[in-house]
Amino acid sequence: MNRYIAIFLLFTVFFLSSCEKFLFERHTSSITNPKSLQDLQAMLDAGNAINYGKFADLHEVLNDDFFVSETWFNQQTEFDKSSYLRLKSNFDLTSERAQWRDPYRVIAIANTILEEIPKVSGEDIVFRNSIKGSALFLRAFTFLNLASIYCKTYDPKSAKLDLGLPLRLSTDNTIQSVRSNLEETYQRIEKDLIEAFQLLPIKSTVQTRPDKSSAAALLSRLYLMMGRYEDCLDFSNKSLEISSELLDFNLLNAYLDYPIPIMNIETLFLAYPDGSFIIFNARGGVYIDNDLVESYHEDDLRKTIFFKSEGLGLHSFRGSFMGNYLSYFNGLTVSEVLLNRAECYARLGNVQSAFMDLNRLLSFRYKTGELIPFSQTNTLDVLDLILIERRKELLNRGTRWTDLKRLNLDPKYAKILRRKKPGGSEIFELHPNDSRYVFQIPQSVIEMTGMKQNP
Amino acid sequence: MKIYNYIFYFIILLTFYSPFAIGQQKLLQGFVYDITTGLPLKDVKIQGNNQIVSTDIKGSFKIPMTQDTITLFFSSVGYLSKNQKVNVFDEIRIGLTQDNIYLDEVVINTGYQKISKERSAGSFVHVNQKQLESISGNTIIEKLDGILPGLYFDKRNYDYLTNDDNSILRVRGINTFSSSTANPLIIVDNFPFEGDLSTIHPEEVESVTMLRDATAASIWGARAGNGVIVITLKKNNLSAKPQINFSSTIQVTEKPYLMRIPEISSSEFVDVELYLFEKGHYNNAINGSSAFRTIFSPVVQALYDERNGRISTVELNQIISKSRNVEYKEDLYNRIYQNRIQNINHINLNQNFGKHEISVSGGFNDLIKGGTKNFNSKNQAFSVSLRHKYNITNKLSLQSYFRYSINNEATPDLLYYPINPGGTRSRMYPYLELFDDYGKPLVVPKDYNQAYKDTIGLGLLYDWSFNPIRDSETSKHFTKSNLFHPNLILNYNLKSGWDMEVTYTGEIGASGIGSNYNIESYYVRDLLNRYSQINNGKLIRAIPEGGILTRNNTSITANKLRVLGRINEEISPKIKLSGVLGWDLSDVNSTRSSSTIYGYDSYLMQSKPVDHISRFPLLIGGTGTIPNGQSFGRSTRRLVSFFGNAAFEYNNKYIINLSSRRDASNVFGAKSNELWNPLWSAGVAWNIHNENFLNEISAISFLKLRISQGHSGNLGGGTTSDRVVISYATSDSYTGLPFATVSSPPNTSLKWENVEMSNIGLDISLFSNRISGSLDYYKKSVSDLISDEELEGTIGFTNIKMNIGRLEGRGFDANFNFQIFQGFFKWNLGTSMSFVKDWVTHYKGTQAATTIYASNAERSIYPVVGRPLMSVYSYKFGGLDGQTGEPLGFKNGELSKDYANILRDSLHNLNYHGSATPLYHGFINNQFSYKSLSLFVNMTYRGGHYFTANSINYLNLYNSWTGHSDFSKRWQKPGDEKTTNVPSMIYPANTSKENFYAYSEANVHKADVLRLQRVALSYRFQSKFLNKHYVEVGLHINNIGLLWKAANVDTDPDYNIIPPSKNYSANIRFNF
Repeated sequence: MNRYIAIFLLFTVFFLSSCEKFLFERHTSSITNPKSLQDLQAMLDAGNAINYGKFADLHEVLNDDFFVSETWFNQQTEFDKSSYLRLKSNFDLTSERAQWRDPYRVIAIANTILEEIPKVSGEDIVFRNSIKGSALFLRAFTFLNLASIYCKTYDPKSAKLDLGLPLRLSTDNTIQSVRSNLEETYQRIEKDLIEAFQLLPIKSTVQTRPDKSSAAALLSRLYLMMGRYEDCLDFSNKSLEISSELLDFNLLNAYLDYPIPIMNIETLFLAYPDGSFIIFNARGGVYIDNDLVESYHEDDLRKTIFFKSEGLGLHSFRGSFMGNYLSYFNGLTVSEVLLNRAECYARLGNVQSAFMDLNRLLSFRYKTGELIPFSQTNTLDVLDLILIERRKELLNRGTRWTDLKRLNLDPKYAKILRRKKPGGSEIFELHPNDSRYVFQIPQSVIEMTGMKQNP
Repeated sequence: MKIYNYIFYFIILLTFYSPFAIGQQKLLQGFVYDITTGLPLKDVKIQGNNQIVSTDIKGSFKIPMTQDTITLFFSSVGYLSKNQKVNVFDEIRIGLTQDNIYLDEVVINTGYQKISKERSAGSFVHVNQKQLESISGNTIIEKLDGILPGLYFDKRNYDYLTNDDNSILRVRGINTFSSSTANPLIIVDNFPFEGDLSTIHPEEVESVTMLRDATAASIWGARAGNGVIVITLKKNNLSAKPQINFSSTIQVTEKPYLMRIPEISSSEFVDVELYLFEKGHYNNAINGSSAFRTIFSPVVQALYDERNGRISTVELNQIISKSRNVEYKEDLYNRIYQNRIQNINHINLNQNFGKHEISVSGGFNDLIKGGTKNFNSKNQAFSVSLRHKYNITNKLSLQSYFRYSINNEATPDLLYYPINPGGTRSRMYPYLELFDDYGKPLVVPKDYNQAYKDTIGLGLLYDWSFNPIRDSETSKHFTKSNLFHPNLILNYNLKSGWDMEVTYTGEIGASGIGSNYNIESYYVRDLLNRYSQINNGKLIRAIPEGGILTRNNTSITANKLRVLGRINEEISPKIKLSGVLGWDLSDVNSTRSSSTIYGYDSYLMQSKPVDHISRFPLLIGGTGTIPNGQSFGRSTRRLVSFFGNAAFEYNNKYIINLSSRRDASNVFGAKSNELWNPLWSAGVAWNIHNENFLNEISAISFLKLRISQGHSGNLGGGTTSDRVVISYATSDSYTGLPFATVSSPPNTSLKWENVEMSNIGLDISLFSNRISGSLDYYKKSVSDLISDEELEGTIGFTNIKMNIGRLEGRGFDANFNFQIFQGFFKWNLGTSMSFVKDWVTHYKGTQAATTIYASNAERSIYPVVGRPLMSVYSYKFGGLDGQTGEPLGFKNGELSKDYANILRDSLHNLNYHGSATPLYHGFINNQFSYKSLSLFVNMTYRGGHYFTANSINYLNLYNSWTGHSDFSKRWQKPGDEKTTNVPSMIYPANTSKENFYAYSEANVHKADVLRLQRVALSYRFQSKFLNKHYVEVGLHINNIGLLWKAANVDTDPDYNIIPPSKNYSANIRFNF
């Protein structure tokens, strides 16, 4: 019998020696730890977790470009209704997720990638740099998105005293979230972006991936918000040196439901927010401000490409850069950079160049040959004109709210926003520099972290 | 490592009991057989000369003798013991008589060993071959419903269209937060079965045992947390003469009871359309820019045509009155659907050739008539198996079992009810006409407005019309699967009562599911048309012409090895020891691949390449990439286990059971495997009937008290990794690039969920088995449940999985059997009742929105502290408004119509009704027999739980055409609120109002039911001429229907929408 026991033991020993390795096999092929640069790139390519609908858009609910019908208004959540009426309200679960958690998740993905880069294999230094640059870009893009909602406008005089964002730069969930000051927040965004600009490739193959042109475009957006016009001009130029092609509206098919194609030549970085249902116009009931629609010239093709008549003199928006019913686009485009540059030229006194940029853009928007170029002779003030055209061109492109905020610092352009309650007569007003220009942070976050709430 | 300790113990154990040297003595040889059958008996204990030996497989034994004559004591389970004086020079042949008390003695298979129920402290329930044969069913699991005590079938996912059962099995409640791991473990022939259980022919099953408490189940360790069901396949009573068993069944399943679906009638639907037309509901849609994508019903179309002068008022009224009288459901039921007929056959041949025991079986199932007329459906299942036992020497045997099964199914595009027309509607209008007056199939609306379809293509496109009856034959859906299931057991009998066994089992299977849409099918025409552009009168197609083939192939390879030692030893006449010690290794691999092939020609077997990368403009607007069905996947589950158990029995009265098991798997990392403590259980039992003080009481023939306590585990949902875990997906919707999402942040803390169960039970048999039964009370405490721990929002990851959930439960299981009459006329009554109540005691995960609890907590797991895992909640209902007929809710304790805010009220203001799963369930089975004729009546009941019935939702009625028969009970005028709870029809509909009413207490009802599950009549021809052989014929009716329900609504609470149709079968069984 001992023979058999020996066989049994032999079996057992053989089996134990391979046991550790046997249990090391991962259990699902599609689930893995990141091992290569390709794995990290795949994480960056998850549009559904980053570019599509993961940014906050709460601020856009308050802007003055649109209004909604009574029916549509009544179908909204309490949170959206009070946001629309420019009242403070408590976040519900859905809006908290869309307006705070989702953007911070994008930041967490960026942080994960930054932490994983040193751990993965791959010799290609260009590829490695591109991944690191992309992660830094994404983090900066999202911080800037959040800062425009939850922080005041950047003002160098008070930035060190103003509340900034909690700057999460690590995935370690044991680190407490604390709010930085506004100076630190903007410094972080700037630092990340400058580094990203150095690391990123000149031009990426798809517009969901950042590259030098989009990093420069985002820096241009950042400096414009900070009022640093020379830096803004510098990076606008850097971006336009790489990509300056514009979409000729004469060549678009106006008969399509959504005439502007997705991933067109003007798109530098594709992204859209998708949190506030109230501004989502697929089912109608969301209309563009009539005065704004009227302000487009008859020969301006945007009048037909951007708007669809809904009868009774109402117009809905169909000019989305997503090529579909998704109304808001908050990515980066050549036209935005061009307008940034024009504004900088104007502010810095280079009126000639300012007109050149503006006329160049409009020549792609007007019917061929119909544009009478703007010049000092037919215009009162070049900056006034540029700001008007900026609003008309960048409609539903995620810049209106930050423009309102920064322009409020200048009494000349400060504006009182008025909105009527749908189906009622009450008018809700929002005065320049009202505390409601800065949104409250979701209460659950305040409770779980003890961070300071906005006034 | 700890496992080395086990080997050490094993060696100690083996050496300690190694056989003692035996001196040179005279050997007495003999043979023991069954006096009635004449077959040799193995494992018969023979005591004498201070020795205990037992018979081998051929019934022979050897015992050393010191004298020439001696009295030997022969004993064996199920036989009367016998004292026999023997002489060493005689030829010794001993016949044993079966003990009638033990005729019903149950031998239980735990998957590791067979033990007599009398000798275990565990809680088992058992269904034997005779009971299984007395009922009909397509799968073995289906047969257990209402037969196996304590097994609950949650049938709320039943699909009346496909007649798919989709039952979820529960043993003693739910013991996990993760619904994907909440099923009991199913063992087939001693190993967990990974494949599809329908591949096992029900005729091949000998018995089913369910292991309920820790002592019974903990031998299965980390997978036994939800109970274990052990299926044992037939090994056959092999005799030296060849035997043939044959059974054949014809089964007829009635067509689905479409008429019982509670829906709005055509006439009422027309009324709604007229009302909505008056209100201008369709104006926006019919004039809007997306009108081409919206389908309008003929009545609405006619109303506009009449308004615009295209048709006259008379014509309009004709259309309206015609529509009122058409129900396409009736057309489908009468002209398309038919009763399904199936033929199920099984044959088995077996014989014992001495050294070789061989048994061959074959099964063949065929669908004779499919569920729809005129369309050829094929559904065939074929299986063949070979069981062979080779007794190489007296001690060494090799058993092999090979089974191969093939399923082959092909169906056309079956016309399911309801037809989904697309084009913003989810259900067809009820007065659809499927046939014209001459019976010719008609074109019906689909996806886009017909006027748009007719004009857009300038005649260049494929015909875009949809004719559902013609279309059925243009596509074919097929499922093909095969499974090879080998099983090899090498058994070495070291000495009497000592066995060593090496078992290998495998499952190698593949299945392919696919669809072949030919170019005439609507599916292909529609897709090709959408991916077309018309430029300057020329048509450009993005997808090449031809059919489309989609395929989804999966394959499974499982390899499992088990090495174990088994003892069954009488240490002294009073002390018995039995036990098992060994290890298990399991490696289950499955791979999956799917693809979509374009331009497919099934005749030439050719396909055409397509561009999956570029975005193409679509004819209907927007752009899109050509759908790419390509995807691959693989999963691997590996498990290593060490296990051991032991049973000590003293004087046939006192029993102690101990068992322990340690598992390691590749699901949780190496760190968790090391941290994991062995799962253990302990049990004691007391056979009170063997005590002297009960000898006087002849009424009690059996009385046993059992107490057990122990742990088993559950995988739960989650993975561990010290780094971030990413999950790949095929392609991004806009860029087409492959991408990976973060599926979990770094988490190293996870381990198995721990189910602790204490059980106290009593088995009793009175008046020589006239009354027998068992009663168990248990307490369970489930800890380390893998649950989400909510993180603060700034961290970015919403939750992290941790072993933090806890659950408590109490319950009892009782089953009793009464032999009311015996003799020529027999009446046997079998009953069972199981009661379970469990509640969450600790949960820190995300709390969902309040509406989610009211709408989803009934069917999915949403843990709430203090409540069962699946609970019924509702909004407080304040009746209907006497003026408007609108439903009233409560806000801050006062009647309110602020529906949006009522919906958002906090969870504790919701009504909590109770559990959504029954607190108690069981069966009442009557078996009557007169001579060879017997009648079996199977009734089941369940109760103590609640359900939410569907009702009218006006938003769905207006927009997607989904109506409900409650419409006719709606509030119509002041005063109606006294007699109805169904709100009035108001335009426009308000989402919040509709949701409030749908989830209000007005629609919550008690779910208690009593059901007549089956009736079976059978007759057995058995005569002297036939000897011991027989022919049996049977008639069965299944799914007969409800006898009683507590709720006063027209819904069967056990099923989704409508219950399964009745099913009749006739069967014949031969045994020669």
